[in-house]
This record gives sequence, C-alpha cells and structure tokens, in this order.
Amino acid sequence: MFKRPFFPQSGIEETLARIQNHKGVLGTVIVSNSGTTLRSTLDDLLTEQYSKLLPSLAELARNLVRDLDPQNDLDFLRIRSFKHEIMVAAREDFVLIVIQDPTAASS
Amino acid sequence: MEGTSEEDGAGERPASTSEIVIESAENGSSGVAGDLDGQNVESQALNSQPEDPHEGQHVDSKITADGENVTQIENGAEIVETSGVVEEAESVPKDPANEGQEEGALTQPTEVLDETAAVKEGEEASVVQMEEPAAPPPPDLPPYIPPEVGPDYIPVARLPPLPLPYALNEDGRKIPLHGVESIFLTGSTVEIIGITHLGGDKEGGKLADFVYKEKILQDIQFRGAISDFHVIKTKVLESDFDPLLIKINEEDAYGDGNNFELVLSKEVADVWNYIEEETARRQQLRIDEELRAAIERAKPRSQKKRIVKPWNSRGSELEIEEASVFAKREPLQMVIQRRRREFYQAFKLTDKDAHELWNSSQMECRPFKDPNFDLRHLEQERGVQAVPETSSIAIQAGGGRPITSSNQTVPLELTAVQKQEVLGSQDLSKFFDRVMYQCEEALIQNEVTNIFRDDFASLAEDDAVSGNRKEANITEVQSFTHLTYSKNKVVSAVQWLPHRKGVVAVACTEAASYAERVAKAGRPAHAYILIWNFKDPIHPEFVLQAPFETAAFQYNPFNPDIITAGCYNGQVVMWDMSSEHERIAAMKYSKSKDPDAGDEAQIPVVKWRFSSAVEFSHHSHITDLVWMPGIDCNRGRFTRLGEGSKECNFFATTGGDGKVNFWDIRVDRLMKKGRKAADDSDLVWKPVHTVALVSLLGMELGGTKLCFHHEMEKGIFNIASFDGELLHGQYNKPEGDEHGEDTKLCIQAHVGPVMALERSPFFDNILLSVGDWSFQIWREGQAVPLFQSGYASEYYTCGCWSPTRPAVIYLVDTSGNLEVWDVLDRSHEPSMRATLSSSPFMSMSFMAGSAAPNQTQQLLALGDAAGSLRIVELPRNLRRPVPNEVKLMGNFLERETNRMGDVAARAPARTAALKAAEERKKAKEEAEAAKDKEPAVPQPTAKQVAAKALEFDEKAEAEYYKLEHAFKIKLGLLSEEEPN
Repeated sequence: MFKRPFFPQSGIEETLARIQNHKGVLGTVIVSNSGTTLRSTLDDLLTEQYSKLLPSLAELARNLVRDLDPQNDLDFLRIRSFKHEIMVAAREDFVLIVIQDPTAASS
Repeated sequence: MEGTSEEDGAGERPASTSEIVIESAENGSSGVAGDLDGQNVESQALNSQPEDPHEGQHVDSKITADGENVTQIENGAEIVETSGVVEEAESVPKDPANEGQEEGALTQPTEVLDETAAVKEGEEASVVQMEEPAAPPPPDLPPYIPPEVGPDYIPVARLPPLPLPYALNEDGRKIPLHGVESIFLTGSTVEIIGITHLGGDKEGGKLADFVYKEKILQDIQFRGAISDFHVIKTKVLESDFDPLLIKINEEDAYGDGNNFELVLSKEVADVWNYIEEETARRQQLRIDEELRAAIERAKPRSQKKRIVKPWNSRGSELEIEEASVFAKREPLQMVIQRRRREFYQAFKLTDKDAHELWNSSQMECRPFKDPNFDLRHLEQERGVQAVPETSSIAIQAGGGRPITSSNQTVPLELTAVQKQEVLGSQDLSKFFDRVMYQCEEALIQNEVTNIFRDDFASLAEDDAVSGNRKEANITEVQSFTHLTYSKNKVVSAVQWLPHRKGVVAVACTEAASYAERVAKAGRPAHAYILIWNFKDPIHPEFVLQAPFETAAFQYNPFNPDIITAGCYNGQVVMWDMSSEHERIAAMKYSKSKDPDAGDEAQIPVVKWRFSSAVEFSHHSHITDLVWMPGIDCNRGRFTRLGEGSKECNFFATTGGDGKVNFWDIRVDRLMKKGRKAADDSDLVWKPVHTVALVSLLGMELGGTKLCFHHEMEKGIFNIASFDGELLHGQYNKPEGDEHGEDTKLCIQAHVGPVMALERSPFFDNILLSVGDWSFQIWREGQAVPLFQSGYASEYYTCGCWSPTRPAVIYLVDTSGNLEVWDVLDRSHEPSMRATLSSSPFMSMSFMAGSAAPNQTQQLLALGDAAGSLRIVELPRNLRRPVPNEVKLMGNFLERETNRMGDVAARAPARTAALKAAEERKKAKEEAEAAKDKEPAVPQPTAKQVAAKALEFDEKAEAEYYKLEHAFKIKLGLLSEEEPN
C-alpha cells in the first residue's frame, strides 16, 4: 500500500486550487528548474509541450531583461495569444505556468 | 647667468663644428690620396707619354728591358725625376680632371713634388699588380723561390737610375765619355789581340773584355803604323790601369763608323763595370719581384698580403690647419649663487584684477598684440568622404560535416515520492508566496477586461469615419443592359451566382400593365434570365430560357447547376446546367473565332429542363421562391438532414393564390414512381406539400414575399401580401395536430403591397418589411412593429439588410434612389441617399459572400425598371461595422420592444380615457340637443346613423350650392334674377 508522505502540502494545494478556480483557467503547470514537471492539470502531451517550451522562453526573456539592465530582472511573463493568455512566473528554482482563456467557461 | 652660458656655448660651438670640418677635410684629402694610388698614376702616365724628344732615346733603351706597361709608367716616373719641378708644373694643367681631384690645391711647386712622390709610390704598386706574370722557370730546374725581402726593400723600379756609359754633346748626340776611345779594329787586329769572341751574335754574347796594354803596345811595335791602335798609342801609354777594357760597338752608337770602344781610364772602366753588374743585379731582382708577385696573386684572397703604405704628407694637413679654428683662450668660469632660504618659500597669493595687474610694475609679461590671432578663418572648405571598406572573400565550404540526424532522449522525470518531496518543500511554498499575487492579479485583470479586443481595429474605424468624401460615397462600378433581352424590361429579380465571383443573374419581365397582361394571358411568351459577367458588360454570358415570364428565380445554394424559377402563369421551371457547360464553352470558342457574327446567335440559350404541371402549380403568378438547404420533406413533415449536409433538394414558392408550395427537385424519382415516360415533358411535377393561406378579409392571401426562419425544420415562416399584410405561420405541424391552423398571426402592416420581407442576418427574430412609403422592423410574432419609418416622398420598391452592419438598411425607391438607413445614427431620415438611376429600381441583391468578414469590397446589384443592372460599390464606413454594433443594435431593439410594451400596457388606460372623453362629449351634446328638442332622441341605430349621415351630406350640398350661387353673383357671372 502506498502511504501518503507526511509533508504538509495543504498550502500549495490551496494556492493551486485558488488559481484553478479563477474564471477561464485552462490549466496550471509547475516546472522545476531542472526541467521536470512537478505538477500539472493538463493532459500529458500538453504538459510536456508547455514544460519544454516555456521555461526556455522565460529564460530568454530573463536574459533580455538582464542584458538591457544588469540590475534588472524578469518578474512576470504574459503571453497573449488569440486563443488564450499564458502567464509565466519564472524564478530561480521553479516556473509556474497558468493558461487562461477568460471567455471560456470556468473549468 | 644665462647670458654667460650662452657666450660659452657660442665660444665652443664653432670649435666643435670646425673640428668636424677638419675631419671631413682629412677624409677628403686621404680619399684623394687613396685615389691617387690607382687612378692618378695612370692618368699621369698617359699625360706624360708624349714626352720631350730628347728623352726618346732613354725610353727606347728601356723598352727592351721592361714590359710595355712598365716602360710607360717608368717613363712618367723618369720624367718626374729628371725634368723636375718646372716640367711637372707644366704637365699638371694638361689634365683638368686630375686637377679637380686634387681639390685645386696643387698649384704650388711643393705640392707637385709631393704629387710626384705619390706617383712613384703608385708606380710601384701598379707595377706589382699590373705586370704580366713572368715566364715560368724552365721545367728541368727545381722551382726557384725568390728570397724574402724585408720591409725596407726598395723595389727595382724605385732604385736610382744607372749612370750612362756615354756622354751627350751640344747637339744631343752621343759621344764617348772622356777616357774612352772609339776605334775601328780590323779583323786581324781582333785576332791579334784575341777578342774575336766579342759580339752580341756570338756565343757567350760578351760585349766587353779586358785587353792588356802590353798586347796593344806589342801590336803597335810589331805592325807599326798600320796597327789600329797606332793613333791612340800615347793615350794607351798614358792610361792609368791595365788591362784595358775593350767593348764592341757593333751598332755604331756614335755614328763615326768605329766598331770598338776602348776604355783608357780606370774611372770609366769602373763605371762601366758598375753599370754591367748593376744591370745584371737589377735583372735578377726584377725576376724575383715578378715571382713574388705571381706567388702573391696565386694566393687566395684571404691570404693575400695587404700592403700597408705609410702616410705621405702632401701638404693637406697644412690646409686643414689653416682652416681650423681653435679656442684662443681658456673658457670663462662663473659661479652664481642664491641664498638657500630663498627656496621653498610660502606663496602669498592675493586676488587682483587683471587689468590692474597688467598695468602694474609686477607684470613682467606685458600684453602685446599678436598678429597671428587677428587672422580669422572666414571660410573653410572641408570634405570627408567615407568609403566603406570592401573586401571580396570567397569561402568554399567542404560539404558534409557529419550531423546527427536523430537522437533519442529520455525525459527527465521524478518519481512520485520525489515529486511529493519537492512539492512539499519549503522552497516551493516560498516560490508560491512570491508568485501567487502576480498570478492572481493577471488572472483577475483578464477576467475584468476583454483581452481579445483589437484596439487597433477600432482606431482604424475612427479614421474611416473622418475619411474623405470619396471614401464615403456610393459609386457605381458597372452597369449592364442588353438591347433585346433586357432593354425596356423590368428587372424583377437579381441574384449573384453563389459559386462564381463577378457574375450576376437577372430576370426580366415585360413592363406591361395589368390590362396588357390580361390580354396576353395564357399565351406562351418566352422570357429570359440573363447571366452577366463583369468581364463582358455588353453580352450576357448566356441566357436561361423560360416558358413564361419569371418574377422569381434562385440558384441552388449547394448545386449551382440547378436553377429554379417561378413563372407568371404559376408554373415552376428548372434548369440543369450540368450538361450545358460544354455547349456554352464551344459557342464561346466559335464566337472568338468569328467575332462578326450576330450577337443574338452568339449568346448561348439554355432551355429549361423541367416545368411543373400546370394543374398542380400555383393558380396565380409566383412572386417568391426560396431554397430550403439541408431539409428533407416527407409527407408534409420537415426534418433536418444532418449537420453540415450539403444537400438541397427542396424549395418553396409563393404566389398570388395564397399558397405556399414545396417542391422536390428530384424529378427523376417522380418519373420512376409514375408511368415510365421517356420524355421529360410527360412528367408530372407537382409540389410535395402545400400550405394555403387566408388573408384578413378571408380571401386568398396574395403572397409577395416569403421568409423562413434560419432553422427551417421548425417550419416557421412569414409571408407578406399584396394587401400589405404580414402573416406569421407554421407549416411544419407538430405530431398529432394534423389539421392545426397554419396561420398564427396576420397583421395589416402596410397600406400597399409589401415589396420586401427580410430577416436580419444578425438577429434571428427581427424582420424588415418594406411597403408603400415606409419600412418597418418587426419582432417575429408580434402584432406591432418595433420601428416604423416616416413616410417618404417616393414609393419604396425594395429593401434589405446590410450583410455586415446590423443597424443598416438599404432601400430603393421608384425615382432611382438608394437610401441607406442607419437606425442607430438617425431614425427620421436616411443617413445617406444616392440617386443612381432615372428609372425606378425594382430589385436588389448583395454580392454572395459579402457577409464574410475582412471583405475589401461590398457590391450591391440593383435592377431598375428600364432593364439595366447596376452594380454599386458601398463605401468603407457602410461596409465595416462600428465597434459593438451588434450590441448597440440589440440595445436599440430592446429599447423599442420595451417602448412597445409600455405602449401596450398603457393601451387599456388610454382607450378607457378616450372612451370616457368621448362619452363626456356625447353627454354634453345630448344635453344640448335635449335643450333644443325636448323629446329625447333615442339611441340611433346603424340605419339611423346612416340616414343621418345622408341627411348631413344633402344639407352640406345644399349649403354648398347656395354659397356657390352667391359667389357667382358676386363675381358677376350670374345675374341675381337668374335661378341657379
């Protein structure tokens, strides 16, 4: 029998649930800096694509910001597409990806 | 202090420069001296070749002894030696080049001497170097090695010359020396004294020998006077030595014919001996020198002995001495001192005005005017041209760096436990704490605002509104008319071909009055539908022939080969183009081959394929025809074929007989079902379903326009009539209600025939009806219009919604105007009016597909009553919707609906109030009447009312006649006595 580890996770789960409950949120993905997906509400294929493509873009954006001003840093990345918006919060250790289409019915 | 040092410097500097001069002068002179070694010698020698004649003999004698070169040079040397100062001084100016080389300083006699010395030195050197190698020693002898010589060895050439063995008289001729007797000895004498061996050609080559005095005296004694020596007996006796020397003189050197010389004095004998010895010695020395020189020459260059010659003063040092400058006194020495305490003193700086300072005595550097600064550059021309550096580089890439064509990676994944660990880690929760707020902010922002709104689009729209006039005008693009087919006919129906761009189909009918039509009724009169292509505005692409005039036709939306039309006699006809394309193409080809052929013959005519049976068709003319795509009809029941179905087999027609007929185009089916007729004309084509409609007056509803709901299977339809009624009904009856009422609502909408009935492309249940002088917007199923326009001055003949703008309506009228109504802009008058034709417009149609977004062109086809088809282009502002127009129009309709509701709600109260007011009025009138006529008039019946009205009319007429009469009398048209 798999026993659930005793780590307190309630905070993170709560936070994720809060995000997920916003209108039109299609999915959230958490990727570690090593490129591994820690948690995702999307299906496997999409998760793989998002976790493969977005951290590198965020890193590129961070390079851009820091090249322009070495004392500056990337805070938040929002990608507005015709279908939805992708929000990327990239820090040193983790990347949080939220995909939202506000016109879609809340999932 | 400075001044002194300068003086010192000035004193010294010339000295140093002069030193340099000295050096250079020395160099120069030494250079000249060096040159002399080689060059001068030769030139000197050459100069001195033509020598004084009295030297010639000596030269001759030398030639035999030495080589030619040597002789020449020796000559020069001899000359120098003998001729001395004066001669040399004369010879010098003969060679200007030589003089130049010697810097012109050699005019002094001393210099000449020096020069000759140098020449002699040079001679020796040149002798050593230039002499031909001596003849090699005889081979049988051991190689002769000449003895080494010391540094003080004097070469033969430089030895003093030998004394001469003769003397010279005044004439320069040779004479025997004193103590020498030139005698002639006969052969016997020679034999007697035993000197036969003498002679240059004899063996031994001896020239001289000793002869004892005694022998000569004996000869004299013996032979007496005939002795050769007899003449010189005394001299022989007086001679101081013995034996005497005798020398053969074969060449007769003195020219006196004697062949011997006899030396009588010891002095001369010694000299002669010395000459002979010395000559022999010198000969040997010369040979030695030659050998040494040959050995030296044979040596390799590195081992050659360098002859270092001692410096010979030739007077140049005197010149240098004269030219040089020497310090004539000891340099001065000065000591300048300053007290130590005067160094490193503190500064005391104070501020002072510049002009004060400059004028003060402390100012050591006084200002002065420097003319350099007065020069001003007034103009300067400069140019810089930058030329880009170019370089041509060629690189040839060798193909084929190996590239990995594929690789396989395994995704990095964590196990569930690891994931849980990370998910539960403090880092992640920290990360979330930082990120959460931003995420939520973004999410909420997106919820609040419409993120997909294109702000630029609305910006562009603003521009378009304030665009130029031309942008906002309706312009005619093209017009079509045909002399035979459409001229002076009414374009009763227009449709853009659904599958082709720039092709319009037009149905033409005779512009006949009702009476004319009645007269013609029943007689077949072919009518045509013209297919116009934008490419050819003169000839229709082809025409469709119908048995009767058609007022309505439609292309099948899914199968453009099928065209159906409704005729004036109530029949429905159908064309099938699928078999006609080839024929049309062939005709076109022949037309292009023969352009002179008549127009009529060249326009392809397509005959109708099927026509409906007259007995099952409409009884009156067909006014409208609508296809029902994706619908299946089975025994009066309409069902949808399925989503995305591309079948369209049914259409509906309406006509003046108040029926709506539904037709199936699959005539073949009928044929199979019916009798097996080979001919199409035998076919009985009848409607699959019929709905009969009744007007408000209980008569047949003369339908003019038919309008279905978008979802046709619901069976909801609206029909407009000739009498201005609008009928809302349902043809698809629900189950179990077979005989239900078709008509749900019938309203008197217009006072004249309704010319257009169209459903809004944006709102499902909003209808537009156009009739008489107004148009109305209806909500389906409601008895009151949402919006009714004011009455226009002209009759509206057609109208339609804009396919792209929800609030825009296009109307045409009988005077050829196109009106554009934007109900959001203004509701009392059209937003735009354009007069496009002189004759009434009868039909209109939007280009197929113009509802699609991003169309760059919106074309409207208008058919007028004179047979021409006009294509107009609508401006951009009418084409592109304003932002949120659908919403705004929805609001407008909502507002109007509310208004109608309000009016309806107030209607009972209003009617009650109206009634009350009327009753009050009536009561008042009754009361007045009662005053006039006591008996109360009973409540008038309808007849009584009619009678009353008649009475009123008669009374009014009598009054009128009376008035007229009075008026005529007044005008003098009638006499007062005359009765009326």
